[in-house]
Amino acid sequence: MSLVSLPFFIFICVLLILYYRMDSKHQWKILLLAGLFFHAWSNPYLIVFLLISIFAAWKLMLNPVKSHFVWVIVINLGILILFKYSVNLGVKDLAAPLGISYYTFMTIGYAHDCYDKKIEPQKNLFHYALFVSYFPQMTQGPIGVYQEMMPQFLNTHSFDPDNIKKGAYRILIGLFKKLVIAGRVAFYIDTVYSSPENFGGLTLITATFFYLIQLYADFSGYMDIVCGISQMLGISLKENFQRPYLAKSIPEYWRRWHISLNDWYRVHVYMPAVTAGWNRKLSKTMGKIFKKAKKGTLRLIYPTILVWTLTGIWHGAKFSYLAWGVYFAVIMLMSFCTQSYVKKINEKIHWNKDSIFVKIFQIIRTMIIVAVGELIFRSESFSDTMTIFKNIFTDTRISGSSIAAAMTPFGNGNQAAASMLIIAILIIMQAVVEISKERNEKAFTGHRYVYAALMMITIALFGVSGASNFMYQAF
Amino acid sequence: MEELLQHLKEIRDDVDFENETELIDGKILTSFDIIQIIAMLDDEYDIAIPAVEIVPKNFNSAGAILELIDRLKG
Repeated sequence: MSLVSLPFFIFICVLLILYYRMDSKHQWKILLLAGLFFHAWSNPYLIVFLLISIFAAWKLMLNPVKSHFVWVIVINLGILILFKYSVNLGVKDLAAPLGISYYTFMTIGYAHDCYDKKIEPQKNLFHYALFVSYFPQMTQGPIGVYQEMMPQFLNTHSFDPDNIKKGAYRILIGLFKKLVIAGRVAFYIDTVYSSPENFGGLTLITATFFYLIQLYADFSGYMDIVCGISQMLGISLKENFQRPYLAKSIPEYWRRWHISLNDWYRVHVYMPAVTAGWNRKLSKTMGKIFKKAKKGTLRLIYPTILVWTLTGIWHGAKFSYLAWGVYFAVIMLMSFCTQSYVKKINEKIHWNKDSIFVKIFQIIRTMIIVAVGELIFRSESFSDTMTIFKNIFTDTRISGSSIAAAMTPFGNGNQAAASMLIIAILIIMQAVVEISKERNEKAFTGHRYVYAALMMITIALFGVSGASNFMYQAF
Repeated sequence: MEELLQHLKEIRDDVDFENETELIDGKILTSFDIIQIIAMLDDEYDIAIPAVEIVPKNFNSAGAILELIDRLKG
């Protein structure tokens, strides 16, 4: 059931009525049933795997000893690997259970926290089942943290018109980002990236920057929709984005993009690896060779490589994904290793960090580094990546024909120019909407109705119907 | 305490470790800084900090870090 579809709209309306009309002590049961129904709708047979995962993790972690924790990992990762890499493993291409990546992350996170004694194991199977199968976050995250979500699920929620209004507004923002912005630029990107050898540098650069816009609009648009739905139910989800393209460095960018996934990796993979005995020994040995290196820097070399390689192949068994992971591992390590030198150089040349020009320079620099990474990610093969880089640097003619070629996916002549102008206006509008979203905590003021009306009109006029699949669902 | 403050200053000389009590919650230290601190504690005090101890309350102030050292040493 796509989030952008009539069945889903009906599902939400029925759910809201039941949720607020019935005795509030039954609210969590309604959410659990809704989650299982939502999952079964996509494929009624594959829900078996979700149920196996829920029961196994719940039962094993009632006694959170090491062997049980290891079993939870083996069972969950086993199922995930089977479905994700079925083609590579020589099995036929299997349709994966809905949201398997995300509920696997949540399950392993829960088991790890139980094992570390950060939380008490949940004794009620059905309460635990709700944590894993809460439908707004099941398909694509945000990856829920047990101790943040469980108290909210078990609380009762009374009907609050303000939550409904704010939630609906947020959903509208999400639809606008997804259907209008991501949907529009998708045509251009798909055309260019499906045969990059036919396009010059200008077109390829434009397509790559459009891809950054598409990724953000699609993914954060989805988050706006699910956060909005959850707000209507009185449950607040973790924010997954914090204006990532305004980050001034790559480490900062990754603290603002897909936050729940990066938090998960930090707590459950990165920090355990940093503090692991093997890493401690390795970094001490390296310290004897690289005497001048900072001890902390040596400590994070292997964990950084590990986390980024895992993140890369988590997206799928494809060369582009692995290369993307390695690329960001190298960039992150370079950023850590050069930090003290950069600081010294900055002091010498009296580089004023607070100056607006320096900030803009840093933002643009970060965006270019990200763009190169996403170019690798989006390429359909290694040879395509090479072709794109080659054309960007060798085919930089700005002639009438190359501009016409760049416009081709939008149509010809005036039609193309008009389309480009509309997209530019939409992006500016989006920035305005983003800023107004930050004031979401305040009262729902009158100007929101104007924005809401504007967004509805633009969605109706320029929304791409049929663009109902979200990019991150595939992962 | 003096010795610890000295080591912390070597990691971040722009932070007021003596008075600051929200080093993590106030987002003053990054995860990179925390790893530097973990490596420093390992080198200078010979303590291996388990991942489960890396929580905000153990790193929010120099005092909290000192308590962590004493606890793990003891």
